[in-house]
Order: sequence, then structure tokens, then C-alpha cells
Amino acid sequence: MKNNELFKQSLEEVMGNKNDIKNGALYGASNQEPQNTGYRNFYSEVGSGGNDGGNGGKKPKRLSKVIFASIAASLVLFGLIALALYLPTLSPNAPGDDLKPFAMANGVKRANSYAEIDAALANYETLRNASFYSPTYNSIGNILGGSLQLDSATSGSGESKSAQPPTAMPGGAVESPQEVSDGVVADDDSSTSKTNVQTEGLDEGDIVKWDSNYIYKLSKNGFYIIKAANGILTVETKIELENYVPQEMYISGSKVVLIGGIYEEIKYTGSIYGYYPSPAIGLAVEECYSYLAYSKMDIRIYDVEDKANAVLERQITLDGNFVSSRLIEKDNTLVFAGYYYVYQGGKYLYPQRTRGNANSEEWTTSVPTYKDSGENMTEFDKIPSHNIFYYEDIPNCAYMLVGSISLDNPQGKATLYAFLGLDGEMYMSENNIYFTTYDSGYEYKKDENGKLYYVYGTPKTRVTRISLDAASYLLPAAQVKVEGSIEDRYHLDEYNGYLRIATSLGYYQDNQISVYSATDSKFELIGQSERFGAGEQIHSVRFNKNECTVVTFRNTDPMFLYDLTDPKNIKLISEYEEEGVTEFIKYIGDTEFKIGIGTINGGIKVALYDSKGKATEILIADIMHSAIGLPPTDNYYENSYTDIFYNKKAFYYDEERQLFGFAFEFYQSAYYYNGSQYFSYQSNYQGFALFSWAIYEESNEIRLTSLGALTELGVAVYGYGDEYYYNDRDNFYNRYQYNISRGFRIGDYIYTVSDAAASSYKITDLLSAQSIITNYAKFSTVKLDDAIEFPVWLGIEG
Amino acid sequence: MINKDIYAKFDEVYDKTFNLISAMATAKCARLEDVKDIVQETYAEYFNTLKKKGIAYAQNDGGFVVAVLRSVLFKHYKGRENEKNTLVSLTPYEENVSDIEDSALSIFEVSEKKESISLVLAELKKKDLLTQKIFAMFYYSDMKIKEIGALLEVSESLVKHKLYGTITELKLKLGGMV
Repeated sequence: MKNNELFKQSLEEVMGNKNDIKNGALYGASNQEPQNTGYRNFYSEVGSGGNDGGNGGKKPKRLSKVIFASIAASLVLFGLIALALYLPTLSPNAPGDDLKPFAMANGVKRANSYAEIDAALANYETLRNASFYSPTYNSIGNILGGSLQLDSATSGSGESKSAQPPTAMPGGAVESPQEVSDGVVADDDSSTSKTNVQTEGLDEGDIVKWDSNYIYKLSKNGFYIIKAANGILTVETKIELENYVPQEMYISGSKVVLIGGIYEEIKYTGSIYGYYPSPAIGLAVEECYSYLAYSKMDIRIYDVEDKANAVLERQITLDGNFVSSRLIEKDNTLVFAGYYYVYQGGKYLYPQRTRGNANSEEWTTSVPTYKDSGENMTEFDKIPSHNIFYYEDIPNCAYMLVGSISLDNPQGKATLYAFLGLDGEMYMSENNIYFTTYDSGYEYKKDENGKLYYVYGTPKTRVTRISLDAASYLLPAAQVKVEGSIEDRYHLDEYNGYLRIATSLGYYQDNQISVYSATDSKFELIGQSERFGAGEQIHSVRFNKNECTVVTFRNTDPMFLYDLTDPKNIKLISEYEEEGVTEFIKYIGDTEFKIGIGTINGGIKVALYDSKGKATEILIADIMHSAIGLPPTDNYYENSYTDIFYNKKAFYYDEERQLFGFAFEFYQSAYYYNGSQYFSYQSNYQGFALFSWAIYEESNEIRLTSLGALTELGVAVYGYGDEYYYNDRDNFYNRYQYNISRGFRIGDYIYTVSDAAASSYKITDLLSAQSIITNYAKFSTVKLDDAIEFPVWLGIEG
Repeated sequence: MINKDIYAKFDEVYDKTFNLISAMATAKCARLEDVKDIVQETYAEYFNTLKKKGIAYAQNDGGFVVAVLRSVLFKHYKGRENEKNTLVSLTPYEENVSDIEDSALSIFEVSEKKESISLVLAELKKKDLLTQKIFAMFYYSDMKIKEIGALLEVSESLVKHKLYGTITELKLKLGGMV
């Protein structure tokens, strides 16, 4: 026998167990413990798939690298809950009675003690341990009496019908909270573009921010303040923080807000592969694995009035990972949300028996903790129980932490609430915060022996609304289960008291737009569109006042345009089938024109659409081919990539100058195995593509013009394959640092930033004004003087 | 918002590719201890791709995971340029062991004694990196001699020599315990 188990087990001590690596990968990718997804239940109970069936409750190894990677992924996957503009302060002595005037939403409760939370978790644990599909179910039929008291989970049902529906939406009579424009300051030289946001008035944190004089840019462990004066860049300050990884930032007046994660060493002292530490087997306690992970979310507010001397004014640290945030510009209030899994930070909510003690029924209560410099706290303390809400049928075992703090008074009152059982995307409108929690739709039943089991139901999205303005409180106002699932927060939109949500029903089956009232403590279904895009899945959605553009993907990749003026009668205006698929949609101001960016045959297409369909189109791949002069290579796949498909904040949109742009990469890759070579990847071009539009009112036409691409690297081929990695590694690493991530405008200059550099270009000719190195010491092989001879192509009209 | 089909697809590809991916990671790693991180990160990236792009995105799933592995390897050793792959200085062996069959390499019975695991591990750690890699690829990743030779870019003869020599030595040292 080749597979000597002894050797294999020995090697697993070093290289990991296959199932643990799998669980860890899933955790790393989704930041969700596989046990919590239903996935684990299914596989372990049915016994298919080979997944860790015998592992009991053993935690997957969550290794440092994966944890690190998971943070980025978690931003996409996790949602959150609740918030609290004026909720009780972080202090444990927060006035709980403040919340009494509010009618709580169906299914949500406010904890009076930590024991209540334990009970909610125990209920979750019961469901988690249910078997999939009782063998008695088919043969005996529906004999099972008591299904658990869970919501029936049909779209739009289960909520009170007593709510008064809002008045019909007047066609365009009210300003949409949706981005009408991304706001540009009217002053000539001091005007700037702004971060592309979903809802006007709600700024979104990003890796770079700017005002008319300075660029604030995150580094790997802090941030820079770079003076930008007529294209001349000067690093004013560099803040480096120990044990800190910033994820996004805001600026407001003289305040800089950093939101990031703190690494913490977490020691796992339970069993390893079923073995407990013991000298007899050569496993000392200290050899039990430990790992570094983001285990704390950390918010720091600096005053940078004196640019050379940034002063830390407030620091709030929470258990869990950062999810999302907004800056309410009219109140100058930061709203932040974090996600806390119960086992994070070395704490476990699971019963002791899942930690290796098979007979124990004891629970280890884990309540998220916080530390706030504003409270002069020196130690972490539990969030008070009366600041915790929980749902009767929690779909997962995690908290969403939501808080707020005024940037006008960084040392003043902050609020913090925890919501057990919520996750998903966070969408925020002027008046409400929404969290979308995936609901597997499992239906729990009991067989004749009283054994709990579940069967598949229809997957749903639990939409939870938290009111921002109800008598100055933030409370879970309503929850509804909408059939289908969403991909990102752009699937939701609130307008004139209505919540509109576009969902994909099933997997490549059907799609639908639903409209709910959004004005009181309950959801009421107002109207739904006909199902559309049969056999396809929604890839991009954009609501604009009474209009909605949806692109589905699979075979024909159509773009649907819906009229939502009467929410009870949603009309399909047009269905335009296009080549490729549009992944990003952006309406141009108040016009009916929109920008669409997507993929086609491995390239990126940029198009402008009017209400009747495509108006003009540019294919970046074609342009790059002609610019670079590289023919496609045999065995290579041509491909393009841009961040904006997944992160719409990376889009540069400048209504004042009628410009837009985005960073992209054009590359070729091949993967094959011929005995020695497996993979080769060569980046042909990375840069920032810039476009302009012009609207001709008389003819109602719009023209799209490609202005060129800005790059730090030049037209050169940089490979990622073996031959590059091992023979030219310095160059390889240097290249990454110079990939442009964002572009924006201050005055008459376009600025681009990458990890390693910041550059400026005169907007009139896009010629480089200056480029500076900010990060990293090692860049000797890149000759910036040679690299910045751009733009590559100019004046190509589509 | 993760569809169960994605999990099913992930399961299928994971089971199909795990051995090859772990072997390739072993071949390219600077230390065996890095392999679990690299492999785990590879599949995490792959899972993310499934979520973002759908299960039909990659035409060749196995090849795509290999591509992801490459990318992860680069990132993993980014900034750690000193950790060179030590295989570059190897010189070909001329040992006459090419006629050893795979089956002859299995000389241990499975032991229920957990102590032997740590003892085997301790002995393995004393070996040079190439030997450790060959051992890992053979027993952990279930690679054939020919495949190991190809992945490590060494001769099959060398692979067999390393395996046979190590197992023989382990048997002498630990035979009484296993």
C-alpha cells in the first residue's frame, strides 16, 4: 500500500488536514464558518461530498494568510445591522429605557440579560444539528406535526397588512437620494471630483480621499498626507501604526478617520486532530497552533489641522471584522458596522461539547466586547445586554455591531448596538439602514419520533430595516423575507418611501423586482415585476428615481429597463440584447443616458446607452492590441480586469468635466501542464483609462471619446509565470506596487495613486506633471522617468 | 448570498484537484509548513471567484485552480525574497535505484500508536528540503514517482533514491515502534 497512514498523518501535522484546509478556505473566502452555512449540515449528515464528516465540531484552521485574505472578501459578503445615531452611548450605563417607545419589529427582541442570548443561541444550535431530510418523511408523508415556529417565509407575506401604503411615487417630482450627481464644487481651480457613492449625501470610505489641497492615502499600516498644489506633489506626513491594517478612510474638515483591523495572536488550545496536548505524544501546549488574525475592528479619528502633527482624538475598538461604513454628510456623523463571529477572538459560543468535551452541555457565552478611549476605558468590556437585539430564528451565529459617532465632536458620545443573527450586505438610504441576510429557506420539521430535520425550501433574502430618524433612535424597524438572493448592495434602493429590490430567484432561473413600503415599522409588499431573464442571473442593477436598469447574464445577456413610476404596475420599457455583459451601470446626472462597462470576449467594453439602447461603444482590448502591437499568443487566454466590477467606489466620475475613468489591467494567461510548466501570466498593460462624454441636445445624441490611459509602468510585458517569478522577482514585485488603483481630479489635474506612487497629469493634455514614490523602499528596477511617457492613445472616438 | 451550487462545484473541484495542488505547492514552497497556508489560500481565492463569476466561469477548472495557485505563490512570498527555493542547486544523482517499484516503498504497517506520528515527523524534519518534499508529495499528495520528478524537475531516479533511502532509515530507527 502506498498510502501509509502513519506517514500521511505525520505529514498532516505539518501540512494540514485536507478537510481542515477546505473548511479554512471556505472560511477564508467567506469569513463564514462552514458550520454556519447549512452547507456543513448537509454534507456531514448526508455523508456525501467527503466533507469533514467525522470531524465533529472541530474548528477549521484559520491561518494567518487566509484570514488576511478573508478580510477583503468579507467586505463583499457580510452585511450588518443596526445603528444608532443617538442610541445609548457606549457606556454600560446606557439608558435602556430610551428604547421603550418603539414597537419592535416582528421576531426581534431586546435582550434583558446575557442568558437570553444563550437561549437564542441554543435554539440556533438545535437547528444546526438537525438532520437533512427525515427518512420517514417520504414513506409516511406529512405526519410531522410540529414544525418550529419559524416564519413561513414567503415573499412579502408574514408582515402586518395594517400599514398604510405610502402615496404613489410622483414621477421624478422629488429628488432621488440616488446619486444625482457625484457632487463637484463649483469653484474653478478648487473643485474636485468625489468618491463614487451609491447614495448622494452618504460618503463612502475608500483607500484614498482628497480635498482641494491634499491627498490622503492609506498605506499598508497607516496613511499619508500628500500636498497637491497644481500637480506638484509633496509628502507632508506619514503616519505608521503598529499592528494595524487600515481598510478605508474618510476626511471631514480637519479630521481623518481610519477604519481598519488589529491583528491579534489567537492561540487554539483545544484538541488537534482529536489529540490533546500531552508530552506522551510529543505535543506540548505551546505547539498547539496559534495564528494571527484580524480579530478587532478599530476606528481612529485624527485631527490633522497641523499636517505635520496628526493628533489621535478618539479610538474605538470592537470585536469582529469591519463590514461597512458611511459618513452622513449633513450631520457629519460616521456610521460603522462590524461583524463578529462567536468563535472569533478565541471565544466560542458553541457548547463545550463541540470543543472536544463530548459530555458537556455548558455554554461559553461570548458577547462582543469593546474599548473606547472616549470612556477612558483601559480594558475591553462586554456590550451591555440591553444594547443587544436578537432574532427568534437566527439564521447564523454572529453579531452585527453597528455604531455611530459625530465627527464634529470626536470626543463626545458614541453609540453601539449589537444584533445577533444578521449578516449580509449593508445598504443605507437617507433615512434607513438595510441589512440583507441570506436565508437558506430550509424548512424545519419533526418526524414521528420527535427528531428534528429539515428539507430544502426556497432561498430568500432577509431584509432588515433599521430606522435612522425615528425620534432620534436607531432601531430594528422591520424584517421581511424576499424570495431570491442578491449580489451586492446596489440591488436595493429606497426612493420616495419605497424599498425596491432586485433578486435572482434560484440559480440561473428567474429574476424579479419587488417594491415594499419603507415608511413604518413594517414592510408591505406593494408590487412586483413579472419575472424576467429566464435561465439567467442578475449581474448588475442600477436604480435611478423611477427607472431601473438590470442586466442579466448567461446566454443572451440582455439589458432590461423598467419603469417603476407606479409601484403596483411595474412596466418593462425595453429589453436590449447586447454582446458581452455589462457589469457596471452609472446614470449620467439627471439625463436618461447611462454609462455601461462590462466584459466582452475577455476584453472590457465601455458603452454609453440611451433609453432606447446602445449609443456608442469602445472596446479596450482592441485598443490595447493596436497600442501594444502584441498579437494573441497560442495557448494563452486574453483577459481584462477592472476593480469597478466589484468595487464601484473605484470608478472616477466627474460630471463637471464630463469625464470618467477606471483602473484596468489587460493580460494574457495560460495554464497547462506539460511536465514542467504549469502556468504563465503576463500583464500587457495596467493603467487608468480615461474617457469623456458629450451630449448633443439638438439631436439627443451622446458621444463617447477615449482620452487615453495613464500608467506607472509603460507599455511593457510583465510576466507572472515561473520564468518571471524565479528569474526576475524584483521586477515582479515592483510591478505590483505600481498598479494604479484609483484616479480622481483636483482642480485642473488628474491624479492617480498606486501602492507605491502618486502621479499628477494636466487635464488639458494628460501629460505627466509629476510622480512621486510614497511606499516601499525597493523600486530600483523601475525607471519612473521612462515609465511615464503617456498617454498611449488619444482621441479615439467610439 | 452563496448558492449551494457553488459549494457543490467547489467540492467537486476541491476533491479533484487537491492532490495536484498540494503537490505543486509542495514543489514550489520554501518550507513544508507553508503548504497548508498556500493551499488554503488558493482554494479561498477559487471560492471567491466562483462567487463572483459563477460556476461556469472557468472552462478548465483544474487549470484555473492551478493558475490561482501560481498567483497565491507569488503573493505568499512577496516581500520574502530571501526564501529562495533551495532546489536550484541540486545535482543529479547517479544511484541505480530506477528499478525500484512503488510497491516496494511501503514497508510500514499502520500504527495506532500516536507517539509514532511525532517520531516520524521529527525524523522527517531532520531531512533536507528535497527529501521532505518528495516524501510529502508521495504520501500526502499521492503523486506517482514520475509526477514527482516532473514537478520537482528532478529525475525519477533521484526521487526513488530519496524515498527508498528515507524509508529504510526510518524503519531502522523506528521499526520497533511501528
